[in-house]
Amino acid sequence: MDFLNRFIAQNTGILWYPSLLLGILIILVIVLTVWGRLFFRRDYNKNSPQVKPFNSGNLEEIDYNIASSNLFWGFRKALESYYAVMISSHSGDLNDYLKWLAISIAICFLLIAGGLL
Amino acid sequence: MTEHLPVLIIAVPLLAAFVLPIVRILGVIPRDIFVFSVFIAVNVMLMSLIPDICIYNKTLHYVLGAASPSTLTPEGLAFPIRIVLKIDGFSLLMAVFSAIVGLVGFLYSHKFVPEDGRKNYYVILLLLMLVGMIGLEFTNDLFNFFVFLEILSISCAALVAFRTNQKHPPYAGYKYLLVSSLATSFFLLGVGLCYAQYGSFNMDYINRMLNHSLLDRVALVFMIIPLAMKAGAVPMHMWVADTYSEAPAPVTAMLVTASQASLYGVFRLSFTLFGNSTANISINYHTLGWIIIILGVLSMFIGVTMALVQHDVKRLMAFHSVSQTGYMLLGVGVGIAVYAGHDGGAAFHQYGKLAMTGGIFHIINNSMYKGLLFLTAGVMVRRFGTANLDRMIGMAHRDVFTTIAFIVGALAIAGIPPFSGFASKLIIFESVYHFNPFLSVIAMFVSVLTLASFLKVFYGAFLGPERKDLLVDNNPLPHGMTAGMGIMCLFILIMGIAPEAVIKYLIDPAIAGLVKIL
Repeated sequence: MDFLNRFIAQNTGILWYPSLLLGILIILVIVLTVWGRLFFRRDYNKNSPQVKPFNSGNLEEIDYNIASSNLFWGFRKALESYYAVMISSHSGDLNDYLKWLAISIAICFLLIAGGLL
Repeated sequence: MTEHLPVLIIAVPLLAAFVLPIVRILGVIPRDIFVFSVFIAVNVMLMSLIPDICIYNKTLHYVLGAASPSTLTPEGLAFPIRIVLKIDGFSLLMAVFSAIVGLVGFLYSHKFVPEDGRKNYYVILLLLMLVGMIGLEFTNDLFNFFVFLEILSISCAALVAFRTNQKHPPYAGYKYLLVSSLATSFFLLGVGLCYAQYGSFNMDYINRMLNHSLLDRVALVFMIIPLAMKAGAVPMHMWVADTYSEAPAPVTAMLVTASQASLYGVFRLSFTLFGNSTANISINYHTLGWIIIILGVLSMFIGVTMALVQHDVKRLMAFHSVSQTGYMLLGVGVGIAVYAGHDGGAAFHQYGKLAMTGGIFHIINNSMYKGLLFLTAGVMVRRFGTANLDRMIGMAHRDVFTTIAFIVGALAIAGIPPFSGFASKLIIFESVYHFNPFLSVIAMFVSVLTLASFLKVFYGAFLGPERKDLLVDNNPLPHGMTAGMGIMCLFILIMGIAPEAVIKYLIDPAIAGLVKIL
């Protein structure tokens, strides 16, 4: 049992059995694979148009791939003002970077050495 | 022989770095075998210390230049006068993972870095980087700490700027060098203040003599804040994205462990140098803890939100490094905040120690999965000749192993079971919740955003149709690169499946090395 206990995260206070979960996952994969081999369609053909993405009837699928930079557009739009400040502060200018070191040291002086807290 | 291991672990790679130009005369293959043997030797020597330190809870001292290396005060003096190396659970844990990432970095670099006549310098700098990391993790001497920090900074800066034929890397290297030299200058100022008062650089001696005067607190700020900057904590993190994105992929993986060596410095100084749970201290641990927690929360949130909008895959991952540093600072910050409280250590025992367990566990997890992700980014850049995600597509068709490695790294960093990131994040969430539920909620939210931004990378670079016309390199991956990523995947999986064993044999001894009120 001591050996098994090494695989159980007791520190967290909740039940977390990674080895058990992994075992269940492996069993599930085996079951799915066997099931798929027995009952899934057998007319799959890699070299036919059936494997190509279907973009609302357009045949040139490459042109319709959404660029990564357009993902989460809504999130960025919603936080536009936050990003305006953030991106401008990451200017690439070393003076700006070192300014933050000076500010951080000054604040910590006040808090720790100055006894403000 | 075994009693000299602490110094050999530092001396072997250091001497190898200086001997390397002579070995190169014999040819490229003897040089590579020689360096590989050095990395393996360092790993084996470090692993051989694990039973003594992590299982039998010993602390090794090595006094340089003394007739007997284990005698701390060899001339019968009341204070140590020589450079002392001290290896406890925390320093060994950090050194072991620095050496593993160093070995992986070298394996990956084998064919990744071309033999253009300058690779010798590259390998020498890799060895010096390893020396810098392990040296500052082993030393118990403040000035020596500064020296190793300088060795680390200079070798890192040179490696970041290594590709001098390109436009941006020299700028990035210069930026790293300037940031590091300013940080180490402040650190040296703090060391000077300690030396002026106590006449010694030995951390244990200063800790015993500490009177917690105003000068001590000034020294604390001068030493900890620059180290936090080198670790990439917000708001001093801006350099991270600029330098990580320009360094070669294996160097970036090692830069992660180099930044964590600075984080080691923050924790080591907070506890070993300035920590004294029994004395009537004037340094408010609650304040120090909250400062570290606030730095951690800001790092988590700003790091991940900035990562989410990046289009450059290496910059995106660099911002995630900032975000992950936040988790570590949060975990250990909670531990510091309740350390030496007025409750006689009750809160520390209830959840503070657990928070530190999560924070320190996350340090080693991060060195593995973040290193792995940077290595996969190296493959992406090699294939498409750019780090721009908009110009990548369909890598999963071509590079199946890299795709699997990326999925493992991405799921681990997002805290998805059964990978290692889940184990450490779960511990952080649980323990921080007891301290302040709001902090735990922020940490979980950041985890969701982390998954979102790696989905973006996965969608952009790996999914979609295969586009051979976009590839600039269609050759099979060299075995060294595959082996490097494979080793990282293996560690991530093992530490995720058996977290309790890792905590018992590596993390708990590390906390015992830091904290005195166990």
